[in-house]
Amino acid sequence: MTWRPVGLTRDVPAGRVMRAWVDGQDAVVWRSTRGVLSAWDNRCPHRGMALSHGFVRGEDLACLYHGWHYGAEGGVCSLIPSHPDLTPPDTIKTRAFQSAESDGVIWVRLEGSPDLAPPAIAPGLDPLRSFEIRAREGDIAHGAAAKPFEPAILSLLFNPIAHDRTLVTVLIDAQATSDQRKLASRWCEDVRREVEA
Amino acid sequence: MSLAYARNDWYVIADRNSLEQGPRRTRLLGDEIHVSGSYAHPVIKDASGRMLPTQIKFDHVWTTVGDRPRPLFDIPEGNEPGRRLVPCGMVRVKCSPLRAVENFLDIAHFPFVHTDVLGAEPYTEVEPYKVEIREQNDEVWATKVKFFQPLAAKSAAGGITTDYEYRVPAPTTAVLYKTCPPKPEAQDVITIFVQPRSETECDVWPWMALYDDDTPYADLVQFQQMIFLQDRSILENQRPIKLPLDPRMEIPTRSDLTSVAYRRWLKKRGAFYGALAETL
Amino acid sequence: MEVREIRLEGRLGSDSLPVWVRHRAGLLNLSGWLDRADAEHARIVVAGPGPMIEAMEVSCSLGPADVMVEQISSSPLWLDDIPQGFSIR
Repeated sequence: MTWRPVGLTRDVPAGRVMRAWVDGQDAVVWRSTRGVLSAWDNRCPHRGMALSHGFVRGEDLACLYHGWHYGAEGGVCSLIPSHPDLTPPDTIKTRAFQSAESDGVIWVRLEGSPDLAPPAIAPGLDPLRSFEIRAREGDIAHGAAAKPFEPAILSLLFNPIAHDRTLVTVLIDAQATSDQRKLASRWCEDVRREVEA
Repeated sequence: MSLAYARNDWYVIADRNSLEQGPRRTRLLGDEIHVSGSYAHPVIKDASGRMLPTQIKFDHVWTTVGDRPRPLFDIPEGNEPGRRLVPCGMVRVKCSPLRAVENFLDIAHFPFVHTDVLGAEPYTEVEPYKVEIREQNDEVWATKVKFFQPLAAKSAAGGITTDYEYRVPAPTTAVLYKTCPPKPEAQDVITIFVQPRSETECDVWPWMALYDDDTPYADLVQFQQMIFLQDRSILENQRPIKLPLDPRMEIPTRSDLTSVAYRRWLKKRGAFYGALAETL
Repeated sequence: MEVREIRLEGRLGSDSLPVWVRHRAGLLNLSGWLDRADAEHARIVVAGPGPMIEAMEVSCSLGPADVMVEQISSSPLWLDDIPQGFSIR
């Protein structure tokens, strides 16, 4: 399976929970209080509630529905509040995916060799922003190419979410000035508007 | 999906308030339904113009599209003197009608979904309770259910351990009997009538029969609506959308006993509309 | 750690039952075994923490899609030589 860029490191600080899509799989991406990043099937194994609506408690992600806790290391259930005295067996766990961060981008992969790192981004680029466009990857690439951005080097990463939705992660030359970054953000909006029209 | 079973049940499709706003279209079991007339004389037609039978019960208008409808159950508490009958309007939820009923039967979510109202941490433990299928009328009953609640009802002043009983008289109706704070020897009755618009969308019509003459009507309705809007955030985010009748994908524990008994009861009677009856 | 015997009665003839029961025991980390006497009767012996044994009972009362459990009952067993893992007998 391929590593997919699902968002920016700075968009998922400690305690934050986010929903992501990876090769058609609904996923939850979250960071524990101490900073451990995890990516799991977005489904509580208890009753099927989306874990992306859950809340972080220390090193655990808790499901909003019945408060079942799952630990950052491996997604093992650590607490079932309706049976507070029970130590749940480590066979009760979420389905965990591989997650990694490089150059400020969060990458998730459903399966694959654990020692294979996500693709390195060209050196000298900073993440600018990550946002959704209601269009296919090919149409976005086409729209972006038709509207070259002159002030600084940009690089676009794509993650297909659904047949007509794509998460776009934009990287910019690390040397770019704040004015150039503002212009690049505006360019992103222009491309989105044109491609979605 | 067993539409055949579902067609022969009665469903709420309007209340007095919705009829007073003039003719409306709604959906029942996937088909369009036309509702007009007055509350005393409602006129219900299916998409082909066929008149459907109606009855007024529990402050709502009921209809059925089946050829051999099962009789509509009774809720005798609705006739008890001294009770105040409170229809609470409607909440639309994009979920299986069966999931709406299942959630209504669940107490373990109170501290997390209805935080500081129907439950609060650290009072999360669910004590053992009793669940049975009552043979004489083939209903699911859960009894001896207890839960600590910081603000159990509009009429409650502070935290109390509330006693609950649940009754499922039909696949899309659930009745709850709970401690009535100002009248400890009696029980308040809170019901949901679920109108299955399709297998994945429903209108929930709450109805209450309370011993509470003091709380303004608007406050009672607002309280119930708040609870249901909180539940909706759960119901629209469960996977799979239809209610699985095989627990393979889930991990029920003792506190889910009512949910499991409800699913078993649906499975046994073949009430599969809104359910995932096959193995995934 | 408790040991309990769970007895099932109903339409249990489907081939899916043993696989399903073993999967559930694995998920709840329970050791023990399943004996299926005939198409209507089965007996499950499980060892593990009380709440997980109760969870096993709750799941078994619903069972796989093509099985209809009509009756379920359980009682404690005083056995201490339950081998690790779950087997079909």
